[in-house]
Amino acid sequence: MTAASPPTIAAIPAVDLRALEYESNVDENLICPICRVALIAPVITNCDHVFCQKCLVQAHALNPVCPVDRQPLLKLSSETRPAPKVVTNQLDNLTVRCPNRPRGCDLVVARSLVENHVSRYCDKTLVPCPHPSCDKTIARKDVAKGCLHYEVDCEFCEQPVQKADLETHQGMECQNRKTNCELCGYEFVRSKQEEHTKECPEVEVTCKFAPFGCNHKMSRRHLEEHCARCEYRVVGPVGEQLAELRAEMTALKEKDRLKDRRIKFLENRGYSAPAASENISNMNLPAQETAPYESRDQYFLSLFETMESKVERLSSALTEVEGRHSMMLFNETMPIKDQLTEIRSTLGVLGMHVRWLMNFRLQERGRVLGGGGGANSPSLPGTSQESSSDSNLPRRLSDNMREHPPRL
Amino acid sequence: MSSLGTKRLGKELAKVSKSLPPGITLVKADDLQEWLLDIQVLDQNPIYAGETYRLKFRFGKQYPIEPPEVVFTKQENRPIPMHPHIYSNGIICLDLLGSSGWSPVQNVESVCMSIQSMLTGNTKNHRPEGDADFVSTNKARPKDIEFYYHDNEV
Repeated sequence: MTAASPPTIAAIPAVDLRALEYESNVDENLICPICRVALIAPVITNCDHVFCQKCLVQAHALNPVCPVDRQPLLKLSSETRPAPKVVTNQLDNLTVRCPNRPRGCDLVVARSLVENHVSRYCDKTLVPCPHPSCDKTIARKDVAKGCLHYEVDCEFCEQPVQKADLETHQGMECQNRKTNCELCGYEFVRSKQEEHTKECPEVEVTCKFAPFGCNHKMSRRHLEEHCARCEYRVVGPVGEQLAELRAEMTALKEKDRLKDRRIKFLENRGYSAPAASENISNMNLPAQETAPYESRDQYFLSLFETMESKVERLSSALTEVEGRHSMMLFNETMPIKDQLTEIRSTLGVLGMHVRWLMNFRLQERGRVLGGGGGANSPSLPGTSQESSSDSNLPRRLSDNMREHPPRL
Repeated sequence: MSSLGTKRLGKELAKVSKSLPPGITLVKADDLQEWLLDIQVLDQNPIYAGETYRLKFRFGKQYPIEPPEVVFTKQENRPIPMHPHIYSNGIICLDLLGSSGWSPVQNVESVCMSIQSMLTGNTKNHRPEGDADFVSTNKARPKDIEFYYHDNEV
């Protein structure tokens, strides 16, 4: 270990430029298309696309083409060159926040200078502890105080804290440390923050008539004053009464519903068991006892109703079927009837023919039997009576036919 | 993940949660390893009308130098879209998502838009050839599959 060489600078980790926070938005043209942060050590390809040198090397290892337009990039060394000075100058002038901001350095500086600031000047930069056997780091400003890596008790909260961290602990974390309210300046213990917020006169609160429509906001200090002249102060009591009435109404509605149920129950009861009128006293039984009865009655009632509707449906179906059947029958009998009339008329014609033939035959026979007894004799009833005595004659048949005409 | 990847994904997340192109919505991005996005085809393509599909992005250690793994996942109301380059297990055959077609300039938003336009332009309502075989035999991770990008019509 040589005390002569300053070990601090060499041991400080380099600033990660990618992790820097920029003070303002960076122009889109200065952003690397691969890592999407402001270019670091930019290189430009022969196809005129700019990348961080590191990003391009990584992308090139996987696929030797330009990531933007896929032009082949065989050798990075020959096909890329550092970006023009105008680009690097713009990048250098971007302002960034000191990476030690969480530890209290509020410096905003040009990006080209931030590395120098952190490694040489920023007293919040962590450097190795000067004590030879201690491997911890410490803020640069405390380097002269020797090794601070031992525990002390915080004087406010009595928790053991490393001496090196004591200042930040008391400034930001310690719950028992007194602090001043940002709004009213009142001093209180940090752990009582919430309670103070509830009574701090500067905290913004809403008007107490907010439920009735006032959306005015003011500090608590002015609340009383506002309430005294709030336009809604007239509405306030009315609104309260309204809410009360509304609550009462819901209660009444609930009561009404219960009554309704009881009435329905009584009605059902009278219908299903009229004999049990002396059981009216049972009505005053607790609800859980009457409820099942009521539900059973209702059950039967609903059963009855469904039956009724079923019967109704059946009867309507029946009428429909009936109608269909009569229609069918009618359709079937119509042609039969027609055929019958036709047959009847043919029969009549046939009968006529037979009669004519019979007459003709009788005349013939009368002429034969009479032996020339006059041309008009066959038509005489006497002749026909004579001939009727002969039982073998077919005439009888036609007589029969005449006496009993076929009925159709 | 490298600091490059973390930083970039963080930036992408900030942008994606703020605004996304129409038809693409962020569903879940609790960490920088796996994101879920819903995607809809906006024109009246009858194959995809009225449907929403869910894309799962998985970012490897080398993102964005290496491509993310992007697949469709099947869920209730989130089917796998019919497409001659999308297998029924959700694996997408798209050169952009393979090591050779990927470029670190691409990002989640641009990948979503590419897939959206791939669906929009499609007119074939069928799966790739040999879908059943591929689905039952494939064990490789999507990006390790060597697709043969044989047709460029769809």
